Amino acid sequence: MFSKVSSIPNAWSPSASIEIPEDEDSSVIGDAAGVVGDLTSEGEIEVQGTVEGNIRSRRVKIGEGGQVYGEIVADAVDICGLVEGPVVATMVSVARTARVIGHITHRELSIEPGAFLEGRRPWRLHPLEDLKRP
Amino acid sequence: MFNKGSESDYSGSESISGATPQPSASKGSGMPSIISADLKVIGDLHCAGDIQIEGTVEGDIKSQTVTVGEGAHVTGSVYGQTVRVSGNVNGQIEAQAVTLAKTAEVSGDVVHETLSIEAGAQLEGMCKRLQAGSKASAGDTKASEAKAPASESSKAPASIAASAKAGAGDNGAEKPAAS
Repeated sequence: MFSKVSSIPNAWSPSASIEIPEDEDSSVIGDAAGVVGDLTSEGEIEVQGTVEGNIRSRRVKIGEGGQVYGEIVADAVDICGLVEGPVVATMVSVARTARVIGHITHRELSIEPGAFLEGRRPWRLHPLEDLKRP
Repeated sequence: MFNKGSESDYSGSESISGATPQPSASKGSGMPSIISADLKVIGDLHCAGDIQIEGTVEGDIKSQTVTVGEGAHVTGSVYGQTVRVSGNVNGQIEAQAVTLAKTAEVSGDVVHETLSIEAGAQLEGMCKRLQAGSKASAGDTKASEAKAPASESSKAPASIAASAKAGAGDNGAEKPAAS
């Protein structure tokens, strides 16, 4: 009975639909670096430094010392640092060291206890596609 | 991993990198920044440490050590202590030690204290020698070796400098549109 249930293809089931593989050659904004401007990537971006601008990527990781002042749009976002701005992603994970000031539009969201969050966290079936519409 | 790769890539110009005041490995504060091939940056980059560019940057770069990889495109000025170029730079390069690998394509002026150009590198622009500051010590003997190719290339027309600046101006215009 249970196996039957799980075998049904389920478009919005998180476990079934989200497969975002790790990227081997990711971009890194090191802790000594600062970017004033926008970052666009098809791969992975790791931010340990400061970004003042928008980030669009497949995967985004904000390290503990990382600071982003701008919008983050990605398939998957891991936040351990500071984000001031909206986050739009299919999968968002917020660590306890994180500080997020802005709305998090997500399909799957995990928040560790201790995280500082300010803003709404609306759920969307397809967060990224909703974004493209006017 | 990128550090390792760049060391072997530039083995031909080791004499120059050995003379640089700030070798890339000396950075203590942490990880180098990497702009990988699929990343495009529209805006300026400032870094107190090392930065490796394999992707596209439309804007200025200021860092201690800048490495522009083979597939990389930079439109804008590059400032640093040590700048190594294997890719495409459209704009001014200003650094104490500049190394152009054989795959480099540079359109713009190069302001340097120590310059090395591998055979095959394309340079359109002027080469100006930075008036030696306090840091020219160990590099002096190497600098004289490096001057030979530099003087050759300085005969190249400098007309590109204007177009490089025009390119940099475009970035500024693009910036607000991206938001």
